[in-house]
Amino acid sequence: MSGRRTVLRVEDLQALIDGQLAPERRAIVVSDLKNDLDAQRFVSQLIADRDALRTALAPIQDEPIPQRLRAANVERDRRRNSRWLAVQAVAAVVLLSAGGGAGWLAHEAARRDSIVFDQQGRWGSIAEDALRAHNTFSVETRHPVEVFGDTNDQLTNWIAKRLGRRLPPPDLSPLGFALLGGRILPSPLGTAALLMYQAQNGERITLYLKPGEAGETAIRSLTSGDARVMYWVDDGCAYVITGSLDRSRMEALSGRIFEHFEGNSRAG
Amino acid sequence: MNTKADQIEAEIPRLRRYAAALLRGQGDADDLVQDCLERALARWAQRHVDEPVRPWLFAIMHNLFVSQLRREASLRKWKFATPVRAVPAEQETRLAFRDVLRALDQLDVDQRAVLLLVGVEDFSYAEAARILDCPVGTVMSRLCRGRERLRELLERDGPLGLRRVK
Repeated sequence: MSGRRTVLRVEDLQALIDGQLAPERRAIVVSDLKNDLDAQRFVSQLIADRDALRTALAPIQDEPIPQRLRAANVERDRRRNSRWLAVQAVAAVVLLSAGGGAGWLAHEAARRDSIVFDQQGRWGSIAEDALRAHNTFSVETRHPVEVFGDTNDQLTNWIAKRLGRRLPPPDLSPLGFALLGGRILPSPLGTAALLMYQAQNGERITLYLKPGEAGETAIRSLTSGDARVMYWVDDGCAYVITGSLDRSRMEALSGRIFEHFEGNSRAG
Repeated sequence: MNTKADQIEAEIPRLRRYAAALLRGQGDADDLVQDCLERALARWAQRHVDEPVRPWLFAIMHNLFVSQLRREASLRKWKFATPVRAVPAEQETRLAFRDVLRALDQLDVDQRAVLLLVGVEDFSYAEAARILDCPVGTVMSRLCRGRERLRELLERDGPLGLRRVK
């Protein structure tokens, strides 16, 4: 295409439509353009392509900002994290002063600034653990759970006793999933709970709960085979939801679960 | 609300648009935006007083995007979930838009970034160079090649929206 431009260089025409020419240069280019039909076509094509791109992408900019991205919310979460981490650091000092380990402590202090990025490996392995549990138990026909969920309080109390935290199972029936029950799982990073839900057609999803996590994260998603995993860390607990559903259904479930535990922690 | 949050928040719609257009189908754009906001809030004090907020934020996001690409290359096991739809379905059915976005997807990532920063986000060449951490000359040549390529793709794949009805 550049071969066609003899009088006017492509760079000039480019800079013209991008408003990057100095006034004198611009005057020259504009006046040369008047006598160059080829260049005129070229310029109007560039403008048309640019405008098509702008129009195609405009709707995103017009969308309302999602709550989790509101600056005030991100800032609040960040402050909450750093407060929490300060508490954690004090606890670590107390623990470690008994048995040395200053190197580890220094390491902890160093990584505090970039916690969100460094924790991803740990949370990734939690998600992986949840996926393994899902694959193991969701295919189980006779013993999918240890404790059935029809007596909701009993399940909640049992989990609270084992995990040291009340995590009442969310009601997912508006999204077509009934609570089957739950089980307690050993995990390399501590004890976790696995709740299982089932739809009328037999589809199963699991919700993995692992308290004792520092930091917070946005909802992240992974896929492995048919299974889709969405996980996030909020208010000291890692939540992992796994199922073979499409993304929008998984997002709807994640949203409902997130809101359930948000409301729960505010109430408690 | 403090001025820091106000100033950052004013840029979120643009950051979301850029992230969605840059990532198309490769990950969750809002995750990228959120990481960018977290980092920006953490580093606000390190920003030079005279430095305009918008290019500063875009530079942070671009750095995160580049490291995300690197991380993904090393993560064989996990892959991102199905493509995130950057544009609502009803919009993409408008043929002309769909064509241009499909063509955008086929550009290499450097060209796509420049086309978006200059053509959509209205950054100057100098600002785009600062965001991408490359010389101004590189911005101009990528822009040139990117636009040429976009045009070729649109012509090759047929301007469906312009097809004659008669």
